[in-house]
Amino acid sequence: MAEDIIVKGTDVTVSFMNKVGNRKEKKTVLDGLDFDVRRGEILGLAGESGSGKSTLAKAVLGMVPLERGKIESEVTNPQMIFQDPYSSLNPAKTISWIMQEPLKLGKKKYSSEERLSKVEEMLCEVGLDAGYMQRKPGELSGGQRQRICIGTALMQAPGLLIADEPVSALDVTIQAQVLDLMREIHRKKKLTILFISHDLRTMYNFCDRVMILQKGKIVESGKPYDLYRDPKEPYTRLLLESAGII
Amino acid sequence: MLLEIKNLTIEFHDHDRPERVVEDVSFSLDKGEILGIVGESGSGKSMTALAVAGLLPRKKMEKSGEILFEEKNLLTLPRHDLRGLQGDEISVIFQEPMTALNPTMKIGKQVEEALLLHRHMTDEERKAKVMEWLEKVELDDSERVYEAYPHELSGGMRQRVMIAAAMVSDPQILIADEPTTALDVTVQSQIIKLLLKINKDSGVSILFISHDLSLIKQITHNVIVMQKGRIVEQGDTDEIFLHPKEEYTKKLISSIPSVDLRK
Repeated sequence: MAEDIIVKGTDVTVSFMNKVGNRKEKKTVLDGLDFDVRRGEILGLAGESGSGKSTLAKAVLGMVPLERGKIESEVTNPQMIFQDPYSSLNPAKTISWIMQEPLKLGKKKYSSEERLSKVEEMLCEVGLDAGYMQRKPGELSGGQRQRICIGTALMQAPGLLIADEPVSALDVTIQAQVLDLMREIHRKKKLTILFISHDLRTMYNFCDRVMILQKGKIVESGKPYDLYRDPKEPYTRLLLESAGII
Repeated sequence: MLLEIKNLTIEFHDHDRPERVVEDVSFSLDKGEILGIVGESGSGKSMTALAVAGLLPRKKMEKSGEILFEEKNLLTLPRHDLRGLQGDEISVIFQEPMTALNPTMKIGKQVEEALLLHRHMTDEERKAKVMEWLEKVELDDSERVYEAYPHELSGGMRQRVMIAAAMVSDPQILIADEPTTALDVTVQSQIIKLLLKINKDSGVSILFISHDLSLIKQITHNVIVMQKGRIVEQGDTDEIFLHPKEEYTKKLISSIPSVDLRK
């Protein structure tokens, strides 16, 4: 693999078996994808429902078996954050407990003092403070919860952060704040981010590269400016028009 | 003026302390106008829309002010008279077309419901009217859709069916509460185009509720910006987007990610 490539997919194909009545039907969700993720970039995966963008993320994490092709990855400790910060956090536990958990699971052992000070540090990094440690997720707003999810994902210095529609469930003004936070963390930690979204407007300013998916195939990819300004494929054009961009 | 809302205030009384969700809201809707209400979660936009639709519960809730439609105050109108208007003169479509449709009833039967309740028509007349609207909302193969169940249709098709069901009685006001939020962008823009076409052809006034400013900008003539139950700013949509006066409106507009493709 080239120097700056940390994930390389070749002919990645994923199918699921659907049961229709008493016969089985094969549904190909990812269809022969070739792609790479480069160190330190924010790569956007755009597409509509059913385009395979979330399945591709799972494939990168090794969570779905490949029918064909391979994914070479030199990423250590990839982490993921999801759309709905409400269902991602255990409602019965305190923020402190939730954020300490990744530290308990790693190879390196930490004393409880070390863990607490790391949690406190991380809370500051995601724009909150130590006052949140004893609170439970139910006492936080959606934006604050997403900050906790981001903080928890960063506890063990991930080699790749996969963010699956991380701001789609939030109000617009909060979206802007959470994206600012992710941008800042990306810059400070040189973190590689795979950003999954259906919102091409957000991706324009946030991503270094955008890959457009449709029905399990990559339609087109490139730098947002080049891609948006001069889309080669009709589907890319349709998406951009629908979003009111061109 | 078709609809006038004066000093509408809505308070919930279902907890220890009353909670005011809409406060002193006044606006009007003209014939053929598309009026947008935009705001974030908890701004009171849906509550205002539900009040106009007469869909707020009668108990554990205090409402004051006036909602005037054809010289009647919808807030104090007896239930029977309100029922006469709902689904006839005033129709509503919601965000989630799957939960708004009955999964066990065929589409045709659901679309004709407003006609069964509000019009004296023969079966043939009703079916003809339903087919007319299924075609007007640009459903290809409307014969098949008429006999289909909701789960056989895609999200976009279901929302088209909802629009047909709302429009079949030729209402004067269509309330659309986040009608495209659950849909993919390409489908979303099709539904917006359809609503604009229906507004132009039938002259129905639309009260369009959304959190999405770029949609509001595309579809509405006038807009109301709400925050925490109050109106922050209202006026001509283009004017507000170009020259917002209030800080909150400026903040909302600046949170739309801008895409500048000029070099």
